[in-house]
Amino acid sequence: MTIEFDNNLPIYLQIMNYIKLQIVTGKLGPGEKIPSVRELASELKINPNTIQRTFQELEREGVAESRRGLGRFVTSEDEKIMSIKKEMASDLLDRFIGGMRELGFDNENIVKIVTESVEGGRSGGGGDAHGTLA
Amino acid sequence: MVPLLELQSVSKAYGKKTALLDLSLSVEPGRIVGLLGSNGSGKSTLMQIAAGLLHPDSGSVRIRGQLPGVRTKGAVSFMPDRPQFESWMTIGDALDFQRDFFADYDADKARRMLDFMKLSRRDKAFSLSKGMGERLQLTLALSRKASLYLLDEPIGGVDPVARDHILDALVEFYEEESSVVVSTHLISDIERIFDEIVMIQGGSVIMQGDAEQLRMASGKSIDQLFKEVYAEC
Amino acid sequence: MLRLLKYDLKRDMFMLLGGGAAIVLLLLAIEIGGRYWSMEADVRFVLTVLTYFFAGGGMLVIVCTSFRKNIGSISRRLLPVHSWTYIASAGLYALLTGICLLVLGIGQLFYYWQSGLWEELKGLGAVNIKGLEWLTPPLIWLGIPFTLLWAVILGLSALFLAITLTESLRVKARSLVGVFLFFAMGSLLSWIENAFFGGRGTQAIPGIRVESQSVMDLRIQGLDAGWAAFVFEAVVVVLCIWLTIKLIDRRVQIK
Repeated sequence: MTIEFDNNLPIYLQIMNYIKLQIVTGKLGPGEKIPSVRELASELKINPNTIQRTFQELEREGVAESRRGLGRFVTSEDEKIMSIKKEMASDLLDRFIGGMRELGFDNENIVKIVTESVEGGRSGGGGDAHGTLA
Repeated sequence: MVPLLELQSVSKAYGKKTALLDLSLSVEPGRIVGLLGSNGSGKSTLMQIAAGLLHPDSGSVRIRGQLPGVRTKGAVSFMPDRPQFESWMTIGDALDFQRDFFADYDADKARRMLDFMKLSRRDKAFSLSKGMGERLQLTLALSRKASLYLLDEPIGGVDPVARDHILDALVEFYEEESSVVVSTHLISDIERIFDEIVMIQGGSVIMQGDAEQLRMASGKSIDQLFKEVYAEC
Repeated sequence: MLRLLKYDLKRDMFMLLGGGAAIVLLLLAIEIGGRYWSMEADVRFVLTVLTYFFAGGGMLVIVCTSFRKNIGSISRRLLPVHSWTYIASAGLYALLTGICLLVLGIGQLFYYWQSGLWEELKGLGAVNIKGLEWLTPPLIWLGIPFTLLWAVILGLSALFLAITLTESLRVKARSLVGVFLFFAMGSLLSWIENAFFGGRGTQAIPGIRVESQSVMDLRIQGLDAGWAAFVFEAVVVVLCIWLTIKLIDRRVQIK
């Protein structure tokens, strides 16, 4: 488990995103135990205090819960996990749409490009948006 | 709660040259603090005063509320910026030296660190390369369960591989109730492990704060902030 | 203090063993080789005493270097020990090497006594023990060490102070200042003693004067200056140590 950290952004947010990603993709299953502060700090080579902050935030958001003496666990509520997924998706969308608008595309074209990309089997990773433009 | 390290209005000059000017600083337990500054900014002087090697001209220095002295030296682990081994010593001798004088020496921790750093007790300390020497220095400093660790430029002049190794060791062997003050001018490699940062220039503090908050507020890395702040000086 | 000494010895082990072996070999060479080359007893005696003299000097240099390293090196100054332990361990170091030399010397004197050389040397006028005529030969073996010991203590206190002072200064010519100060202290001490106590003055090293090639005067001072001078010197020792500690705490430059 290694993450490429961007020093321009708060580290703990980046770790949070990473853990959320693990959860929504199922790599960390519902109700599964999350590695301890020490373990994670060691693996990621990050200050344990930062990990601690991450966990506190995750708990505050209800993404994780801590059980006395047993450790920290992913929430077992499927709706919660779904809502995390939706939240992360909406973040991506906001950034995508914002970026596309900056490039000058209007709503209709954005939808067209997206549809073509998805149906054309493009699996992701940058590139120019070819296709019909109005 | 008594701060682990507290400097109040500390000044220190060498003849006409001012090293520290009316500097105040406070470090709470359980924090990793980055002391950032260019060479000659006063970082080393500050560290040496906290370690009890130098006497301030004015102002007060307290470690856990006590003045620097025999007891604070027993609670502070200082790693100098240049290797300080006696030429006759093997690595084993250097560790035994720590064991004989410091009550908080942890033989088990020392052994684990030697393995981690890939060092052997039988090697002669003097004959180590720069990178290995830094690793040994760190081992000696971290093999004690001290309250305050003062590391002066632990990654300076060391190749990137050894640098990573040293940072790994810092995180791996970190003690929760202790604090670590790391002075450096190479920031981007190490900034991710800092809780707080203190920027020094001309012997005074020019910026300090929680590392994550600074990132959030400015949208920049600490390294970037550092460059900007220094460009203005 | 003992721990410091342990590491001082470890550091200097090579030099100590080598030096010790060299001295013993030299003494043997003088005595045995000397006879082989028909050197007169008094000539051999002078050479032997000179060897001890230089051995003592070498020992002093080793002790002072060790002291200087201890007060000025980072790894030693980080140790949680009181400043007086640096002085004490250096003093103990001197004592240890001094005792070794003394034992050797006593062995040598014993050899002279047993082999009849002592009487032969007295007969030749090569050995004149002044000031202690009232002590019969066995007690001389105590009188000499004691006076030497006290002279060494006094000398070391002044020497350590001078060294510490040298390490505290930041001017380029600081070594010279230290040397100058040491001799200035010595002269001042002698002057005071002469003026107030009427003694013959104190020297850090008991006087050994070589009058001609084969006559040597072993002058033992200290005992003839009286108790007042002794007390005064004791005060001086305490003062020197106190000043040295203060300097170590505050002013010594650490590299």
